[in-house]
Amino acid sequence: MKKRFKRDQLFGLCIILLGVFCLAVLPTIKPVIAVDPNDAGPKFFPKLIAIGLIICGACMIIMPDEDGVPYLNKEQWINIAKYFGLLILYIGGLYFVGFLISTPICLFLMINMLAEVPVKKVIAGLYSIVLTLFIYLAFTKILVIILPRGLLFT
Amino acid sequence: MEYIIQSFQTLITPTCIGLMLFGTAMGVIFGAIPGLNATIGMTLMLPFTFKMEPEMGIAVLMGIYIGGVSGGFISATLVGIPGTNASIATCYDAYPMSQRGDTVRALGTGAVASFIGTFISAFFAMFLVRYLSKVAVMLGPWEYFSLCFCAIGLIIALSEENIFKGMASALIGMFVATIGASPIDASFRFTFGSINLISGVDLIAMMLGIFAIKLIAVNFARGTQKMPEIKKVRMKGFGITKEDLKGNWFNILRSFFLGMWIGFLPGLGGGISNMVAYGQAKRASKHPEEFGKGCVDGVWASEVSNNSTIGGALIPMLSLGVPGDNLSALLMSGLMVHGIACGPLLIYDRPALVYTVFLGAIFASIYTLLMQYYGMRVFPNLLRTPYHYLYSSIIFICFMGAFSSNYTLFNCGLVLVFGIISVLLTYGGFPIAPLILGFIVSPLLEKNLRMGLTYTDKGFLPFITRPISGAFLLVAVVSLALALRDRRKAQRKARETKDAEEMGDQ
Repeated sequence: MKKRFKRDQLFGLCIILLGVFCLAVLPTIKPVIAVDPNDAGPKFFPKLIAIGLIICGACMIIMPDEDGVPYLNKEQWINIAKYFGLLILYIGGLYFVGFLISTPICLFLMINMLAEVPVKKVIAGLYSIVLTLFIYLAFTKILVIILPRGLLFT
Repeated sequence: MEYIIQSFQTLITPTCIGLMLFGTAMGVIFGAIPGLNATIGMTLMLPFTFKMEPEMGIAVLMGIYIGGVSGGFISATLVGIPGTNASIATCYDAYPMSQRGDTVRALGTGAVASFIGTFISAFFAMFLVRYLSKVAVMLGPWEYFSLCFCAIGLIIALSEENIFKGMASALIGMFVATIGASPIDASFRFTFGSINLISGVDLIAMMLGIFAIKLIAVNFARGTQKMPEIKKVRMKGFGITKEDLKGNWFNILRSFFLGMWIGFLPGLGGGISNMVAYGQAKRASKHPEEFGKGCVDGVWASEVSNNSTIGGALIPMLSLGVPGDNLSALLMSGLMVHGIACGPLLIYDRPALVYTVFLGAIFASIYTLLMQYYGMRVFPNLLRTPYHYLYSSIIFICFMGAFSSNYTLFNCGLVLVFGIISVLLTYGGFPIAPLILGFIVSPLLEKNLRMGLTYTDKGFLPFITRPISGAFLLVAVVSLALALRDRRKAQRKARETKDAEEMGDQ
């Protein structure tokens, strides 16, 4: 089946939508103080950006480049989805169970996921625990930054 | 002079030396490992400097900056993959030299050339910055607006991708920068009632997502984590002969000034200077046929120029507050974190800090040279680090770095969101540099635009009629117009080639 749209045209449409969204939100911006009668106000610059985005998007639709070599194949996109999926889980983990529990688990899973050949589970597990403790100590003791403790423990 | 001595005294304290050595080592490591670079190193290490005194923070950042730019030649020499885009031209000759057994000479030349480029350019820049600041205080909001516009225009025009994508990328960066309180009157924009967005999008979170998270995602997806075999290096001296220096003094001089000038211009950087200097060295050489086959002249040209770009880039960054490329933009935001607002008044308000930046660069170049000399045996081992351990560690340090920026998990979410946006933008062929520059320069653009309109009753006219402002706008418009013309030519050529192929098939 012949492709209906080129990649540039789809992205051009997204850029236009971003510009339209920006214009649509502009009326909700309430200027805090009237600075000067000549002042363009807080809406002016975002309006210029929005118009610029719409023009660029339109140009991309009208004058698209050829698609060329695919950036990633289907299998590679699945890998990207897995990678970001794990990171979403990690942020969820940070929120609910905190740094000390979610980090070694996700780190272990990440090491296994990124490895092109199977890794030794014991080494990966040990590495995950040691690095977690290292980051924890570096942040809490040296930089005096409290890392997320998790909703369940606070 | 007293401020220079004051900065010098700060930099020779044991704490500062220790921190700088650490920063430089991290920079060299990040520069040396292909796939990582000084930008990622600096983004990753920036949160660790939050609690430091400004002088210490600057010293560490300069260490990472200089180490990162210089370190790129190591993997270019040992495995033929440039550690950073500033070392692309180094690959052409350093790798063939290494393959024919001249590794020590190639590495030594890279190390000494990097040192010459950084040391002398930072030294020059230290004295030039005062003069440019004197000129800069005479500029009004009209000139500043046009200068920022010119910087963005140039970076769009010079990005290899489609010019409309470059513009869209810069506009997306500007749009993201408008989130939060507006300049001048602090009206809330695009916050949608979220407390987390009132102070705007966190730069650290954005950078970590755009560079580190995206890079690892794409490398993992493509399975490009394998490293070629690397030979062990036994370093004895720098391997540079008197003939090398004698035959290359003019090449070094030319590459130095080319690099410094390119660094000074907004929108350009080490990625371009090394290619230009390499091309010039080849053109001027008596034996151009040897270039690309292991000619040491090419290594000198590339490494001197990409490092002298550093000194050039520091001048407009500190005296005008306009960064030239990603790395200086990041350095500038790192300085902002430490309460240092780059601009023409900086040299008058906090002269000691300005000189700390330049002296920091000079000290870092010395540390880098020593580290590269004594660390040559370690680098091949470093390049053998399994990527799944390296990348995994970086990811989790990234998230905690973003968290420590303002102590909210919202920032971790931003890292993820910008990682996804960055993957999608790269998929769409959008250049990333205009986005970063757009984000950083946007508040400056808006503030000066609004101030320029407020100061007179003539509206937009002074932006065009004031000579310096008009000249900057003209440069931006001409560059964009030329880039557009080139794009149309390329499109026409591609269409003709495609038509010819189709005719051939029939």
